Amino acid sequence: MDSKQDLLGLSPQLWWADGWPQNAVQGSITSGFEALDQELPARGWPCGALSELLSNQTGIGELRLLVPVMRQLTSQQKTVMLMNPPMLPYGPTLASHGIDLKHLILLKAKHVPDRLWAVEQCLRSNSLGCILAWLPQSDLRPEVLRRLQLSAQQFEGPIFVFRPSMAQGQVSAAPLRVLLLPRPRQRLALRILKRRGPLHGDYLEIDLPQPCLRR
Amino acid sequence: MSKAITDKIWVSFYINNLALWIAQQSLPQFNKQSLPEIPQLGSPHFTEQSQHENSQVPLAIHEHGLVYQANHQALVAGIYPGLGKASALSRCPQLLWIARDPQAESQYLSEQCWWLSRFTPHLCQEDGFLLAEVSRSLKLFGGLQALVQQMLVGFSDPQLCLKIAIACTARAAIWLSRWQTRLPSPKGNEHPDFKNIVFAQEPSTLRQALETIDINCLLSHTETNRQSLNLRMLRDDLALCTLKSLWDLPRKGLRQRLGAKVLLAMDQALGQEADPRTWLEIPEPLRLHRELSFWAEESSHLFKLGQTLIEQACTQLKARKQGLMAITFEFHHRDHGPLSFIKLGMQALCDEAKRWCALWEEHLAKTVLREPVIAVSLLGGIAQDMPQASACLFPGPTLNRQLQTSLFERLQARLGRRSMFRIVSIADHRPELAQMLCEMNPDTTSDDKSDDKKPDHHKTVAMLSNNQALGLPRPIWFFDRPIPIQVRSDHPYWQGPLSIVAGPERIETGWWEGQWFARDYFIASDQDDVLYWLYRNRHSTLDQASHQWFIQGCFG
Repeated sequence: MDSKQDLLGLSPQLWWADGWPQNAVQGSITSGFEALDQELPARGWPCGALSELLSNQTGIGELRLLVPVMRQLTSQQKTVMLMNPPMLPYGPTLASHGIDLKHLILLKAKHVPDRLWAVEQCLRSNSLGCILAWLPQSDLRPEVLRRLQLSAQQFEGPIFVFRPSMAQGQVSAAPLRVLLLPRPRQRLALRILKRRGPLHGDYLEIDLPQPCLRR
Repeated sequence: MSKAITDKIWVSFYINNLALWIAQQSLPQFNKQSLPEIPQLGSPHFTEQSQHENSQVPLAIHEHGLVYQANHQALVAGIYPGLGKASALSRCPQLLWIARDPQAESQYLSEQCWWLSRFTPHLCQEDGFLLAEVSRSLKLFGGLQALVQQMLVGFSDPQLCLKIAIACTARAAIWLSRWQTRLPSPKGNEHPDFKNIVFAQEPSTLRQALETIDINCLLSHTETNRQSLNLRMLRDDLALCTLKSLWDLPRKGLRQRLGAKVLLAMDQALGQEADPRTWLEIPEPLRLHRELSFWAEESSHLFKLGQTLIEQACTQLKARKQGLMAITFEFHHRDHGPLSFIKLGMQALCDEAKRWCALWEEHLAKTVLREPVIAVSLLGGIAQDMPQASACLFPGPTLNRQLQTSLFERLQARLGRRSMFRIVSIADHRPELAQMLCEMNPDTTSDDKSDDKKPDHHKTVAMLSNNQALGLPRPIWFFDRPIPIQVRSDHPYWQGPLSIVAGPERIETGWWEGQWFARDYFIASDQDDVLYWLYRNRHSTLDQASHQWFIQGCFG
């Protein structure tokens, strides 16, 4: 037991792989799903760090997963920036979820260097509440991700990067990587591929926020 | 001596070699050293030869055919002010003979006025002298020495031979700055910056400081040729060289020989007569123009110049407590063809040089010059009074909003105006028309204005929620336009067969706008349980298109 304590005293970044790190580096913001919060380090989406959301298809519920975060931030008058979303977010639906559209901004950049530049500028300026970025697979080389992760450390809110699920085997500097899979009846399955904490093997299923369908 | 005169402190600035300096600025041989950031390659002025000959060229500035100022090399060659052209050229055949440019001199001086205007509003200009009355600014800038030190930053070019005098009357300050060099400075003035400065701000020391001044200073106050001849005679023939020797003469005789104005000037210098002055006023339209001493062939060569122009403009704006929403740069090209423009726009009034420079850098990086540029002008739009916000100690929402505004400006400068949007929802039953993308502009950024609209906004949302309570839930993702899809074995087909989960919801409206809209909306799910938002047109005539399915969104 003594040796265990000694080892942990070596560096604050050391922790035993079967438990959570003692001192969370950055803050976090609750995901709005109790079961998911339990599995995330610091009990929520990490702030000041990249979070990768991997899915093989748009529209399986990845945006609704983040609805509680967007609702929370826009109600605090913080701006949420959506960068290059694959489709148009539908305002009335977002508003009916309680998101204040006044604090929601869409950004469209055509060229690859412009996109990455824009993400970096937003991270550096640290004046936004949250960034949701859809970046094509070809843009995200490991060194690009590492650079974004470094810039993200200056940022006080969460940053979500959406990637296709085929990227799950690739190296990534993002401290949190979550694989999203569709499930019937308005549910979403998550598998945490990487986190600052113990390995997570199972699928986690959550109910997406949505008024129920009348058959 | 009246009290009103004595409690004032005048700082006078005089640049000894201004004509020379301005001529050197426009000559490439001289300019090269002072502007090291300008690339010499590709510019036809910078040949190998001129680089070697640099700064050894004798130069004389002439006015009315006589030498007005000469640089060190010319002085060594025996050229002195007042010499004619023929004798000057015979003494020094390689002499550069350049005409004085009084317009450029006064332009430089007025630009320096803007710099000084950040320290005091009481500024005036009198043939070549800049005068600042600083008695009210001493406390704010930390005392006279600290103030003068800060003022000196604006005259940073080491080639300028700047002379400064501080006195309690304006006339004395002017005379001291030009004609007096040696004066025991008061205690504690051993700062290296102050070795060219004459201090005489105490009324008691004024007479003593003025005693040794050359009476040539009175030359500009004589009214007739006769009077100036008399003054010369007093100086050269009677050896009455200093002001002290004139004070000792009877006033009546002096008035007869030199005129009343000379006596008045002497009394003003001593504070015995009032010396009313009109303060400089800042002209309204902001326009700065700068000729280049080289041909800028790439846009990046113009960055530094634009930066100085922006800084000057912002200094003027700060003095007026005003800000601009837009600045236009005009490029004058070598072929004298049509001008090209760069327009910088802000989302709110701004007088900060740093923010403008960031925009300028972004815009310039995108610009390709069609011809080499020979001159640049900066035009300010309509300046408006800056809203004065109260400062806060800790970064709060206001500061964050400012950062955010400048971030959006930067993003829009590079990505274009049509790159950032805000979503506005509108109370309309037709799904496509129920939201609108608005470009970011000043109206939507400022929160005060949108707060006024808040009740409307809430009403809209409430209406929509009511709508949705009646019909099907709306998707969260919307396609830019509906995509027609096929039907295979009675099922709509989109990357696989879709099965209807909910619906229909009939939307039949829009006839008053000539856009007949009759659709049955459904929610369908694919094999992966992804939900889509589909519709089928319902026309009265049964033609081909009537049963066409469209996919319009999905529930992401």
